[in-house]
Amino acid sequence: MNPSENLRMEQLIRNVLDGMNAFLPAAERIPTDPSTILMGDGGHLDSLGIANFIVSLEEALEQGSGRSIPLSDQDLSDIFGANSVTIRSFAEYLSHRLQR
Amino acid sequence: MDGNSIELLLVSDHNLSNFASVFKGIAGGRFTVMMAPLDQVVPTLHQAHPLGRHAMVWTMPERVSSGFQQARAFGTVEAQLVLEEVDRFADSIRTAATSLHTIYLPLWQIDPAERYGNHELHADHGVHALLMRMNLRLCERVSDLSNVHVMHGQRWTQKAGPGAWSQRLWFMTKTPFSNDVYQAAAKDLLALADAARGHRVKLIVLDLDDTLWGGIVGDDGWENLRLGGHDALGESFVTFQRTLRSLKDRGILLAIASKNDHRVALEAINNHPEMVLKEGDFVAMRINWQDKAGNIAEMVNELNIGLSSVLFVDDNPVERARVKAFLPDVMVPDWPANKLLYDQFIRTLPGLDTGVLSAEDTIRTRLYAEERARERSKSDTSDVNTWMRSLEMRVEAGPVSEADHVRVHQLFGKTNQFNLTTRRLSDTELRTLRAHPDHAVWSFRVSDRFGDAGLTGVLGMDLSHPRVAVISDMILSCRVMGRMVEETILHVAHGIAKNAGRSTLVVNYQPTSKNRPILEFLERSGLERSSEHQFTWDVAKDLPCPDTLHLMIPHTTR
Repeated sequence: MNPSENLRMEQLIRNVLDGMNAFLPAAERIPTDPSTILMGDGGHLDSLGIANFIVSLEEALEQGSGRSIPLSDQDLSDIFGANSVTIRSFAEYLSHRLQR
Repeated sequence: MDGNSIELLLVSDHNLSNFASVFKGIAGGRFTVMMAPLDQVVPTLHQAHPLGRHAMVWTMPERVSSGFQQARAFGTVEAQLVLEEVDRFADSIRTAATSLHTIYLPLWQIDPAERYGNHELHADHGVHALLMRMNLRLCERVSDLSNVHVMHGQRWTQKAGPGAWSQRLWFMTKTPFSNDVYQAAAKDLLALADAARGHRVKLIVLDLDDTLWGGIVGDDGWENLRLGGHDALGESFVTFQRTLRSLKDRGILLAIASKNDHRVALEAINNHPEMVLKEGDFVAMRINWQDKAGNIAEMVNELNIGLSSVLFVDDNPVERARVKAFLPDVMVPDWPANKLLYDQFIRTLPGLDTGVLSAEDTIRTRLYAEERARERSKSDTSDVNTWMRSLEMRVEAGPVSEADHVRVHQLFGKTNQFNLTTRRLSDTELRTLRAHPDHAVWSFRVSDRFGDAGLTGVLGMDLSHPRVAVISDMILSCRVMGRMVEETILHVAHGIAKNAGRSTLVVNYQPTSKNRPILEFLERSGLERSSEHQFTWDVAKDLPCPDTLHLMIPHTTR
């Protein structure tokens, strides 16, 4: 657990969501506070939204770290199970992946 | 806008959901976007569509042509077979064009970064060459359809840069492009749709100093302006002026709003040997020291053009801000600070697409010059009727002929102010209406001693009811409004109703944000107002033709 790295990942996710929101009609924009549920029950992203999010996130991680961190090769439900995924919990997961 | 949302159907063999979201974000409520079932392109094109529906048909070349798919896999393919597949696809587009209002058809593309060896552009078997031939063939096969707009999709991927093609999104969602591509596509689509509905630039108002030429003419003198010659800046201004002249030749009017001494500025326009634009190329000029916003408003009023059809071009950000603030409907782009970029910039602006050119487009500036001469003669005559008679006006009316079709279609698409319903008929819908036995579609040509205004009026009548004749369309170009052509159209409508044995003439007005002038005419026409938007006339009563003009109707149609 690295709190500063978690915060950095939260900011990265917010930037990705801001980028996605820039193309969306106002009513479809995704909130960006840490407790926003992205996936799972009450999640703001549908299946296409999840794919857009993952692809944008992969690109942002590559640009930020210079490393390729593939996220699309894993089934996220294997990682998070039935739990809803929030911006905060996804940031923690990313932070953990980066430390591997 | 006239407030009615357009139905846009997205037809595709790949996932366009991201495009749909981006387009909705840009277009707001102006379009109702619907998705056809994925990968059901041909069945969707062959089904009947409701009136007024637009469709964007965006396909991948390898989904339309199995031969091209084979070529991409380095197989040997007969180019002719690929082109035959393109022909079959074009046939489906042609079928769809008979029931859809407008079809938008992005050109096919593959990632130009894909390499296919040294012969990739070989005319017979190169993959990239084959794609060019497919695109050219598609353009050729639909170029005679005025309601099919082939879109230059390469512009969108070029603008989006290296991230335009997304293999990740493709494999995850069958979405080939990034949202940057979809944003560029959505803006282009919106501009085309607006142009098809008549929302386009009709007048460009230009500043002079550092806009049409380099330098300040009042300080530098016309001999020292930077215009033409062996000078990069001078050459760029000449190129910009040439583009403006070609826009003028396509029917867009030019005017000047400049803070200058009138005599000094005209001296430059008339005497500078490198001036491409001449005094006669401008339909109006306000060269004085007054407020530009006021000057523009005056010219727009004089030319009878809506403010939303005006583009203002000025290098000075303060003048631009002033016009933006006081005339918010006028299009005021942030002009590039670098003068070398003027020509490139104006070519990228939306709203300058003129679509199919009619004879009237190419002589529009002359028509407005004639109108100015007419107005000058008006000021010499105290009584309006005397003035009208002095014009020696002739109105020629008759059923719309094939030769008139393009111009009549254009009037349906472009006219806003004197337009009874502002329904934008597609080319096919107009043809169907013309051929319908229970409908009459007439055109009106207006000329006078100053010149020929051309085909400027349209009357549509629905005669399907046994007792009632309904005026379904009444359209008049603003060029001839207020010269009693309006009354003449009503007189002709009355004659058609009488000849058809109908007892009542009905006019149903559909309000829009711009067509109040036709309501005001109906209110003073003498017709009886039967409800807020309906006017009627007992056909047994005469509806005389104005005696200030001469009406000619071919004998065969009387």
